[in-house]
Amino acid sequence: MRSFFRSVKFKIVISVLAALLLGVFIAAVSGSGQSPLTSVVNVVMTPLNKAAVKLSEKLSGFNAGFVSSSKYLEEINSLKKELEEYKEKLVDYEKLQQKLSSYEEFLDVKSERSDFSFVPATIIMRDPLDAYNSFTINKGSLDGIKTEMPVIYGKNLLGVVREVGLTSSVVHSVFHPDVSVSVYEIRTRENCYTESDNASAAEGHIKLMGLSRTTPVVSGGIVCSSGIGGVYPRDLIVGSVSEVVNSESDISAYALVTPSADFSGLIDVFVITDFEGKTQ
Amino acid sequence: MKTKESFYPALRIAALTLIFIAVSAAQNAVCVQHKLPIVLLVPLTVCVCSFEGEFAGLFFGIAGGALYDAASPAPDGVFTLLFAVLGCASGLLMRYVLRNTALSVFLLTLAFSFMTSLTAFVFIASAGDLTEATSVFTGTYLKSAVLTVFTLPVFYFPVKFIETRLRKL
Repeated sequence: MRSFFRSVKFKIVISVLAALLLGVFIAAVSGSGQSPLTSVVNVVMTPLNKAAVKLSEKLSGFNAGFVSSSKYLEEINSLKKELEEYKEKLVDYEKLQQKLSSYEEFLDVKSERSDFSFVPATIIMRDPLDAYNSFTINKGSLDGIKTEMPVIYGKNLLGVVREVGLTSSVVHSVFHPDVSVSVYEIRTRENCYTESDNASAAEGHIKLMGLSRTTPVVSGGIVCSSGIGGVYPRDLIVGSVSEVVNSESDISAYALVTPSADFSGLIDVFVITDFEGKTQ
Repeated sequence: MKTKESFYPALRIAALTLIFIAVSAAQNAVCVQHKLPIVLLVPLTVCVCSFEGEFAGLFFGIAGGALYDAASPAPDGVFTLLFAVLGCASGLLMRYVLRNTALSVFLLTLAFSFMTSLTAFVFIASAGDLTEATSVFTGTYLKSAVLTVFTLPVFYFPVKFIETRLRKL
């Protein structure tokens, strides 16, 4: 082993590791949040991941429960084939329905907010070790995506773009601790902000901070973005209040908010690239 | 004869690269879709780097880490660096310290998997406060480390087959 540490190969190994460390620093300080190596990998992997997701969806719907007998084998196989064809048509129909409903919501938002500029995107990757429902979309800097752009589904705020590559971007959801949205409760008009941590994220909630103990906010209230700060446009739905809790450490209170969007079932989303009041 | 000598190693590297890409796509499509907290790239990287040695292990580690970094919300480049170091370390340990057996690969995978989960916990879960840190770590990340190790046989035997059949003559 000593001969390895004295060899040219070891020096090459150290140089490569130093270059990777430099890449980490470049990713941290650059506006896109991605190193050049990851950008290149994403260009190759984005179409492959899309294909793999589609293949996995098809295989998960495959029913392998064949029962045959020597007497009726041919008839059963023919009926099974017909059933699979109908199932495929049903899957295609459901997918079209889903796309239609997402575009209908998009049309609703577009007609209400003509100042919005959108880029449609599809979720292509998630991290199995991520506890905060973050995801990767198939649009990047080549499509006009930049960091700090909000991501929505219909009128619901999902999160914000944090890393941008050439053809893909990583979105941190509202459950992520580094995402804080300035919001207001629509009935009481009380201004506050959202925060998240491991415990609340695990239960599917985010926290509404900055409330007083005598707050009029109650369970069932709808929480929307206030537009303060210029990162998120006004009146995007963040979620609904499920419970108001008194803080144990001081005299304030906070509310647990359940986001309206179903993150596990999301496929198509929209990135807001521009809106009135956006901070440049 | 010279053509065969260079053909087999090239074929081996091409096969291993394709396996990395396919496993990365499968990890995203299967594990994430069925909510299984398993990082398939970990046992694959350990298996490949154990057979390939420290130098090639560095580059296969970079490949595995870059593929994982593409989907991870952790700061970019972290897993590339981690997989590169652990890939090189796996190759080094297999060549100079351990015997290249299934047990050694299992122990390296266990250690590698635990370190990946710990890194993910440090860079992803600890972005929030650490009030529930212990339960989150044991409930999610430690469970992921253990489940990941159980997928080792799926990669060990095919990789071993490729390595033994396509070694340089």
